[in-house]
Amino acid sequence: MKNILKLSIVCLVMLAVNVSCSKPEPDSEMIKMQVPVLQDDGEYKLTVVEVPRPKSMETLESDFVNFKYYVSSNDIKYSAYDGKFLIDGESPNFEFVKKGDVYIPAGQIESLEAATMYYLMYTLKEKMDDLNWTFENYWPRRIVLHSVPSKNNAFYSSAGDFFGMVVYEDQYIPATMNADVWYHEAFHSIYYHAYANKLFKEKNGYNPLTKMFFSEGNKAMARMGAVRTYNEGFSDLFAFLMTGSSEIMNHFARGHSSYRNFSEKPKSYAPFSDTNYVKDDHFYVMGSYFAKSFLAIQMEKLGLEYSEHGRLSKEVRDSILQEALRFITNEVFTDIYMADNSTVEASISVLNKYRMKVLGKETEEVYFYSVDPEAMKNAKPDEILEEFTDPKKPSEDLGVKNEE
Amino acid sequence: MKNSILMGLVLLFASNSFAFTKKNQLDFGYTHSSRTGNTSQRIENPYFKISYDYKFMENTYIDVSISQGSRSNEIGVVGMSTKYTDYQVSVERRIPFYSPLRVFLGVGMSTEETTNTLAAQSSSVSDNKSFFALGFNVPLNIYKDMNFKADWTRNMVYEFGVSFRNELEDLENNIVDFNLLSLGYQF
Repeated sequence: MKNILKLSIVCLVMLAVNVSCSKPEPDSEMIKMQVPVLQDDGEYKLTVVEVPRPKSMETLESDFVNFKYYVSSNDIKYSAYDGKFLIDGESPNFEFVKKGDVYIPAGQIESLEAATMYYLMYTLKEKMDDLNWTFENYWPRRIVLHSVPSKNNAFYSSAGDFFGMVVYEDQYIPATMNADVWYHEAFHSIYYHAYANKLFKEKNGYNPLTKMFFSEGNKAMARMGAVRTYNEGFSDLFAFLMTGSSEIMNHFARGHSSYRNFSEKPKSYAPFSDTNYVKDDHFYVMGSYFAKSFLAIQMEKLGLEYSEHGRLSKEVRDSILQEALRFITNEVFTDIYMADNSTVEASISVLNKYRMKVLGKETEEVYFYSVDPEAMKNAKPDEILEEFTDPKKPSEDLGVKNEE
Repeated sequence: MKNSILMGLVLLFASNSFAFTKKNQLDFGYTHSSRTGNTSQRIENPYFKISYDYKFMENTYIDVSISQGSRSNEIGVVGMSTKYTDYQVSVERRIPFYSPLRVFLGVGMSTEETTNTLAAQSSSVSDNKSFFALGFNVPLNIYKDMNFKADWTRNMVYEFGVSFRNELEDLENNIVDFNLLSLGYQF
């Protein structure tokens, strides 16, 4: 019995020594993490980045991001009192291993996904602070992992003001780690907040979030779709200006990226009606055209060739971003949203009017930057569509499956 | 954790009024660990354990075990895999049940090697974690007299069990290992 007592005492001493030896590390404001980052050559590489220390490494909770799992609509609550959305749901438990002073995501792949999103949301916050884009109740951004039973997608939900990441089973860079996708979705949230704020100011006490997101058949909600082309296109523009990579969605949706990249000057206008001509692709095709045309106007204003857009300085990119947000919340707001004119023709009209205003000259072409306006006017949709899509890909690939 | 240790000690040394005749035991088992994630895109590889019980007192053993397992996740061109090896030393007490129930209290160390991959690029890092473990194994083959006869087949033991682990560096980080089946030979 004496031996047993001795042995148990030894065990307890070992425990006590071990616990006392594991001293908490001193907190520094910034920490280093290893995550996949888009490089200048257009490829992703595992890279060590510096980010603010989260409140907890297990949840990665910080003042700019909050992660949850498996949220259903019942878990999303809106407080009319302070205008904030609350999301209940399972809290994550991420793992990291330290190698020197670098935190390496470990344990399960959600740790790597979350660390990457944490970094991307930090870069977003840095940029928004630089641009002085401040919206009420914007931070922290809520991210819901694997939120709905669909696959290979990413979305921003205005109905709960959160980003949703669903299961990815495709063969490229997954949505959770794809900078293009993140910044695209991030701009949707910026757009809605900018809009909401504007509505709030102009409607004198009208609660935009409540009305827009929860009232069935509300006018504001109905009209949001009218400017979806701008919303989608300028979200791509934001992704391009944030990453510097003109090949938007190249790593995520290969069949979808050919008409969304910014590498070429917009050369034609597809005169689609605003009915859902090719399902949701309509919004992306037209949105891309609008965004590229807007970029071309900015380049011309700066006295630069369109082909120089890949070498723009940070200051120039920031000024274009400022102008982009002003444009879609003022010009588009006034002329399309308020006038209740949601047609594509009205969108073109807004763009041409803006060109005249900025560059001080009338539009020389019926269709903006069209190589052959007459041909464009008379072109059949199928022929136009070919210009926006990769001819090697079958047309079925156009079905939108990756982006919302 | 204090309560767990106390409970373990009580279980270990609750009774000293019985005696088993067998001495040492060699086990080989398959374990399922609760080290799981929230995604379905994970492959949990078998977690095997080999252990040796050395009898140093009546009904009381020193158990030394090594176990090894791995898991991997892959989404798109990004992946993560972890290989882990656990070393554990326990004090084990055999107490009367249907046949000797093995209750143990131990400490151990787990080494994990995590590899993050991105297309052809990969980055590995190792980590050591020490832990405290409390658990039991329940024999599936029942003996009337709770002692073993000379017949070698009667020396075989089939068991299942549960082990509760807490990392010593982070006591809130717990793991439950389910010993789904282990085969032992007593000699």
